[in-house]
Amino acid sequence: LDGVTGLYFSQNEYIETVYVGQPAGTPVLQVHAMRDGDTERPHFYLCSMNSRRRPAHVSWFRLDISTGVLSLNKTLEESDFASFYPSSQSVKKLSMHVMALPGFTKNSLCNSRSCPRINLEFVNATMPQCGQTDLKELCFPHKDTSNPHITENRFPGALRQLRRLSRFNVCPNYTISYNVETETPAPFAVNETTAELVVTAMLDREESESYRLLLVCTVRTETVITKVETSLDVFVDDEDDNAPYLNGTDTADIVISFNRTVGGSFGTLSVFDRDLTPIIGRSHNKYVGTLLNIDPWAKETFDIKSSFRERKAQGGIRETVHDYYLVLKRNLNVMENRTLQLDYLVNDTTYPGLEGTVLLHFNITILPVHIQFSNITHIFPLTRRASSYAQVGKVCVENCQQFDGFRVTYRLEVPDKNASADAQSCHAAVRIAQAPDEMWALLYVNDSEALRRPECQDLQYLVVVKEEHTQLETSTQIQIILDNEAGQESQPLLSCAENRRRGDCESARGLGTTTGRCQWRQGYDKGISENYSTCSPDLRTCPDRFCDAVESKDASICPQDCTKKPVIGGHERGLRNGIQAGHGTCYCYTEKCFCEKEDIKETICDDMCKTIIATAL
Amino acid sequence: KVRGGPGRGQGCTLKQIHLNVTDLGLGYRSSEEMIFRYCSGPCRKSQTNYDKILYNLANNRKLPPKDTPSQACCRPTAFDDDLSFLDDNLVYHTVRKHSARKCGCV
Repeated sequence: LDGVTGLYFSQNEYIETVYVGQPAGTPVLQVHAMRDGDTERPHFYLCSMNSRRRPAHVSWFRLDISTGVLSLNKTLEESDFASFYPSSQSVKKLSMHVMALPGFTKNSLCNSRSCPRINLEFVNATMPQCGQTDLKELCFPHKDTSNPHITENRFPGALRQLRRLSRFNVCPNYTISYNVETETPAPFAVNETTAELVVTAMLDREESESYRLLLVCTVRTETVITKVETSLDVFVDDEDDNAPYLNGTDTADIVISFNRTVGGSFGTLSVFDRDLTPIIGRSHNKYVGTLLNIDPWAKETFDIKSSFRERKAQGGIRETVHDYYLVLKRNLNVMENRTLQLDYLVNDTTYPGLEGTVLLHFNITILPVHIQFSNITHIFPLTRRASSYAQVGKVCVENCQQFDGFRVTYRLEVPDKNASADAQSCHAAVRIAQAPDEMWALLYVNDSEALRRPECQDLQYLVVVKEEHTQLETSTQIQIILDNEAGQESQPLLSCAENRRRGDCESARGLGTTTGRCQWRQGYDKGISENYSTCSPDLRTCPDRFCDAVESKDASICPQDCTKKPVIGGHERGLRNGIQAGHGTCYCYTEKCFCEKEDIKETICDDMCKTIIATAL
Repeated sequence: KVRGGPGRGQGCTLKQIHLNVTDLGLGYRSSEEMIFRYCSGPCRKSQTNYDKILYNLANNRKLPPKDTPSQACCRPTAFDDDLSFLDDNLVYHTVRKHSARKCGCV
């Protein structure tokens, strides 16, 4: 590929140690810049990252403009070491930056952000003599942690000096040579004359993301040959050299029906790219998408959103997946009924080749929503003993649970508007309630007195449902069948949830009870359980960890589901309100709930009792 | 150490005990531990004429038998900071007003 990006360093840090007494002219280390072509010649300079004054120690060093060898400009004196403040430590850190340019410059400011830092440790001692130096130290710096990075598709060349230049003359009688070994064939070698590690061919990240090299240092003395080994990982940096491709379909068939809310997303088409997409500094693999030939209605209604992720393709090489999906920009009217196709062009803008685009198709079918009841009549049984807020039943237009993006409201009407006043008052027995975020409604007992009146026998209603925007209405008949049992005397009703024991609970009349009596739920689990023991008006709806439209009308109906106050005792709170799980028995006084385990000492048959049973048998 | 000189006796004071969270008996299963502080001790010193009269009336059966008001007792007047812990299922719990910080006869 012909994208010229210029010289770059294969590593961003160089380290070495310098000592007092090292004479002027001693080489310290060598830096390397990777080239783009055979004719390119890097020119190396010491540089500073900002325009502030250079530190004095930079002038102690000289960087060879063509070889990149850093050497001492002066003999290091003890006074040089002492010139630092504070001077308590025995090692000083000297740091400077290096840049590489294709030509000459007089500017000493670093030319880019990728100017490696040279970190030298200045030790307040003379360099150890040959006898005191470990062979490992002669071969490799002991804590070099910077791994080389080589960009794919670039000109091969030297990337690192393996020889420790500053130690080269410590043991003049030793011969030190390097070579490189790899488990599988890899394009790396050592230049025997210069001891430089060389990459011998262009690399391809899509083939291998990294290479593990074994560097072998051979030290020959007159009598022995010693080998010292260290491993080095060379990473291959990515560039945009692959066009996007599809893995399967380029078409998504989308049906929009009950969910028509703004922000709703539909269908996903994936575009693959063997290149990586960086998250920070989106330098390459930039994708731009365009909707083609879009009419104004579709433009206001639809949008294509995208996100990208990384996955490992065959061979464990990472690649990018771009996901595209359709998003509604506004709520769709329930009457809307049409089909259309959206074409979306995805362009890998940083791909230098010609085929950097992919065309996606979204086939959209919008179906109208018919708001209707599946049954013409609904029949709900109800006992005359039911108390106020007892739930009679649930009404839901077809598929109401799936509705999103529009709203239907329920209301209760009397079929015969000319009925007598007596009949009208009977109808006060039942009302309808709907929570603001729900598409169904609940019928509940509003006037338990009316239920008990003998003349109120035939409770018939009409539930009318209206859609908010279109004002479309539909209705269903509701018939409530009352049993013939006589209602009890009315007395002030308490909350079922106040009862802590089964006996009290089942003999109590409470608010919201369908049978007139509270119901007991016995939990058997140990610890904190969702199935805690409690007293409820109707175990079908309370506690079900959900505060419904009727329960929320009065805090006393089902505080287990609805309480907003802190609960005392071992428990887990519900997602919104109420008790998710409790320890032992949970009971509530209005909204204040307690969960506790009562140590019920079971009456164990004692010796006396055993004797009695034994004699009886 | 309890404040107050010798001979004056120990009044209502704050005491502490090292417990496992399971010892609290609230049903939480966790191996975490905690310091539980509680109030205990007699409240005779803070008796008033009101308490004397009540005691006398109760003793002489001048009060309805089921209607004996309680005497001053040693109770927390302030609570420790919230207790938070992870249970064995890695669910986080916070218990409030669980441990005393100050005590008083109330």
